[in-house]
Amino acid sequence: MMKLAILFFILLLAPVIRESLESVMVLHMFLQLPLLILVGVLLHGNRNWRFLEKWNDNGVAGMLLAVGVLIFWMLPRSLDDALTEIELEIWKFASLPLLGFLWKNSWRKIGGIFKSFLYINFLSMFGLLAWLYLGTPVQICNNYLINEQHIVGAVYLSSVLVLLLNLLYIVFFRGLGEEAE
Amino acid sequence: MTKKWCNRIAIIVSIILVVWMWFIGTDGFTAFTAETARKNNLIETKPKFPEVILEDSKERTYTMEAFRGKNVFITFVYTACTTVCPELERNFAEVYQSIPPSYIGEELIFLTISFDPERDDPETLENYRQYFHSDGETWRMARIPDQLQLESLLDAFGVIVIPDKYDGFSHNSAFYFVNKDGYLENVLDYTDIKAASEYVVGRLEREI
Amino acid sequence: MVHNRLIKNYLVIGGIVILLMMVFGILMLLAQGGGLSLSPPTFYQFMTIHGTGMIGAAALAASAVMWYFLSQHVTLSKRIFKANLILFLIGLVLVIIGVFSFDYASAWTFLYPLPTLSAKAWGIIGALLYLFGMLIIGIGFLLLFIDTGRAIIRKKGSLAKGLGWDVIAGKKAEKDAPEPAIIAGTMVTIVNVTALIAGATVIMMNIIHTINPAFTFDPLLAKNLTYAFGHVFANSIIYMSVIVVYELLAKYTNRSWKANKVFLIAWSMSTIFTLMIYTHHMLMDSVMPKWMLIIGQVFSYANGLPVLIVTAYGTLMIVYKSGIKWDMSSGLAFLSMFGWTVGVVPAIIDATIVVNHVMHNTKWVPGHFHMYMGLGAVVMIFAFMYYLAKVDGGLKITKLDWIAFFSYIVTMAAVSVQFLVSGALSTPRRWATHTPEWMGPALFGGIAGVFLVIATTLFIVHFVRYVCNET
Repeated sequence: MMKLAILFFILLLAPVIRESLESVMVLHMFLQLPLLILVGVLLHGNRNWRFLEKWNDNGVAGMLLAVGVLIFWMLPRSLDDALTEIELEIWKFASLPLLGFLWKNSWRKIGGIFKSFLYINFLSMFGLLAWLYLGTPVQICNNYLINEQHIVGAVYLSSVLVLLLNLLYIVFFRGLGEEAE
Repeated sequence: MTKKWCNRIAIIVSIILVVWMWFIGTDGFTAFTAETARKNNLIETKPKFPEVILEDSKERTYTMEAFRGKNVFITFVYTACTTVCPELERNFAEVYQSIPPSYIGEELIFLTISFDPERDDPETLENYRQYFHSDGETWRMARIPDQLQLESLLDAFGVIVIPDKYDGFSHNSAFYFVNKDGYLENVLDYTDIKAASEYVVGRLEREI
Repeated sequence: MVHNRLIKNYLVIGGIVILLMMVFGILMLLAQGGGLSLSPPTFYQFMTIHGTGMIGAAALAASAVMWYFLSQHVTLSKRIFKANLILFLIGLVLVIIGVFSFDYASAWTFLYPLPTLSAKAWGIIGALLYLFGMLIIGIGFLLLFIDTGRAIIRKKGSLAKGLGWDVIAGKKAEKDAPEPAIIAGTMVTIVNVTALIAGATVIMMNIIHTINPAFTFDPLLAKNLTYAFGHVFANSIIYMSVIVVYELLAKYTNRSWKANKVFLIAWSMSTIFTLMIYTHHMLMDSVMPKWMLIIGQVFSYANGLPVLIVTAYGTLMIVYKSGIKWDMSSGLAFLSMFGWTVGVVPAIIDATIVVNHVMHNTKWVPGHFHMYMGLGAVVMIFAFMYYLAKVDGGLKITKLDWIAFFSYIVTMAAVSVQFLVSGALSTPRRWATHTPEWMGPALFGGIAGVFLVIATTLFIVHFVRYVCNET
C-alpha cells in the first residue's frame, strides 16, 4: 500500500504528468487533486496509527482539518496561484495527501450525523460551484479559458446528480447499512 | 480523560490551522480570486507605465511621455473579440460620456490599447474606434507594435492574455487609471460604470 | 418526561420571540394606518425582523413539538437538539445585529440581488451578518432533521417505510402502520432537508455575490431556490405542529389515532405537493416554463388538502361520542384545526392565476398567511404548551386563560381579516405604496393586535408559571 502510494506520488510529481494535468482546468481539478488525495488515503492504508488514536480519537479534529483543506482548494484563487507561485504548488502536493490521510483516518471514527451532514453539505456546495462555474459571465481563474470553466461546472453538476440519486437510493430503499450494529 | 483533552486540543489546533490557512491564502479574506488579488496588489504597488512605443489609429507614434501632465484612463482589448471587449468598450464609452466635457482632453485622456498588434493595425483600429464613437483624439486607440514592449506592459499591469483555439484570446478586463506622472493608481471594475465614473470625477476634482 | 428541560427552553424562547415579533407587527400596522410615523427604512427593517423572527421562532417551537412526540417512538440525539437551539440563538443574534445596527432590510426572503444591491440603504456588513445568521440557523435545523431522518430510518428501515409505503402497497397490515408522529416526522424530514439544501445553496450564493459583485448569477434560478427554501420551510411548521393534535386527542379520548391507508396516502401526497408548489410564487415571472407554473397552480389547490381532510375528519371521528373533557389544550387543538381549514381557503384562492392577476402582491397575501399561521400553526404550539403544563406539571387553568383563549380567536381573526379586506379593496401593485383605502383596516388591525399581544402574553405566562414550578 505504502509503496504504491509513494510510487503514485512520484508519478504525479513527474514534470510531464504534472504539467499536462495542470494545463487543462478540468484535469487539474478533477484528476490531479483527487489523485493527490488518493495518495494520502493509500498512505494511510489499514493501519491504526497509534499517534492519531490519541489525538484524533473521535475523528472530529482530523475531519475539520481535512474539510478545511478541501474548501481551501475549492477557492478559485488557490488553483490559480498554484500555477504561478511555487510555494502554493508545494503546499498543494503536501496538503492534499494530508487531507486524504486524515479523511481515511477520521471517516470511520466520526458519528453518523456528522457523515450525513458532510454528505448533504457537499450537495449544496457542489451545486453552488456548478452554478457559479456554469453561469457567471466573468472569468474566474485567470489562467484558464472561460469555456474550460464551463466544463468544470458541468462536472460539478453531474456529481451533484450522482450524489443526489445515491442519497435517494439510501434513504428510500437501502437504509443505513452501518447502523445495524 | 487525557484522551478527551488531547481531542479537544487537536480540535482547537485544527480550527486555528484552517482559519490561518484561509487567511493567508486569501490575503486576510480580501481576495478570493486571483483577479481580485492582482488588482489589490497593483493598487498597492502602483507600477509605472513602462517605456513603450504606441501607434494609434491615426498612425502617430509616441510614448506615454506625450500624455505627461494628464491622467490616462486605459482599457486593454483586441478588436476581433466578440465577447467581453465590446461590452468593456461600451462601458468605457459610457464613462467617457459621464465625465464633464471640460476635463476631457485637458485633465484626462481615454486610451484603448490592443494586445493583438498583428491584426489590429491602424486601419482596423480606425474602424473599431467608430463603433464606439471615439474621436481618436481625447479617446485614442493604439497598438504596441513591438512584441517585447507589449509583454512588458501586460506584465507590469498584470493583464493575462491566453490565446485560445479559435484565434482569439482569453483575458481579464478592467479599467486602469494612470496618473499625471505615469503611475498606475487604481484598477476599477469595468461592470460598475457608475462607481468608475464617480471615482474618476472625484479624483479629478481633488486635483484641481 | 423526555428531556423536558430542552423542550421547555425551545418553547419559552419560541413563545417570547413570537410575542416580540407581534409588537413589530402592530407598529407596522399602526404606521400604515397613519397612527404612527415610521420612516420607510425603519418600516422595512421591522418587516424584515418580523418575517424572519416569526418564521424562525414558529419553526423552532414547532420542532420542539415534533421532537417531543417523535422521541417517544424513535431514539433522537439530545446533543443535536441542544446544538440546534444554540445555533438558532447565535444566528438570531447575528440577524438582529444585521437588521438593527447595520440597517439590513430586504425582508426575510432576501431575494437576489437585493442583499447586495440596496442602493446604499445598507452596507456589506449588514447583508453578511444577516446571511450568515440565516446560514447558521439553517445548519442547526439541518442537523436536527438529519437526526430525525436517521432515527426513523434506523427504526423503520427507510423513509419510504416511515411514510408507510409498504402498508399502502399491501405488504404489511394496516395495524402495523407507523405511528402518526413518525409519519409526520418523515414527511417533515424529507421536505425540510430538501428545502435546506436549496436554502444553503442560495444563501451561500448571495454571500459570494455580496463579497464579489462581479460574480453574477441567474436571478430566476435564485428566485426558484429561494422559494423552494422559504415556502417549504414555512409550510413545514404546520406539519410539525399538527402532531400535537394526534397525540393529544388520542390521550384525551383514550382512543388511539390509528393510521389507515387513506391517512398514509394523504401524508405521502402532501409530502410531494409541498415540494412542488412553491412555483405559485413565480406566477408573475413570465419567463418561467409554463408547465412549472401550471404544476404550481394545480398542486396549490391540492397541497394542504389531503392532510387537512384526513386530520379534520379524524379529529371529528375521534372526538365524536368520546366524552372528551374540554380544556385549554384540547380547545386550542380544536381551534387550530378550524383555523387551518379556514386559512386554506384564501390560500387556495390566492394560488389561482386569474385571481393572482388582480390580488396578488396586495394585502391578500399577508391575509392568507396570517390566518393560516396565526389561527392554525401557532395555535397548535400553544395547545402543546397547555398540554405539557397540564400533563406534566398538573397546572390548573384559570378564568384568565379562557378570556385569553377567546380574545385570541377574535383578535387574530381581526388581524387576518383586515388584511383580506384591504386585499379585496385594492388593485395589484408592484411598488411600495400604501393606498388610502387600506388605512382604516390597518389601524383596526393594529388596535386588534394590541389585544392579541395581551392574549398571547397570558398564554406564555401560563407556560412560564409551569416552567418555574418545575425547577
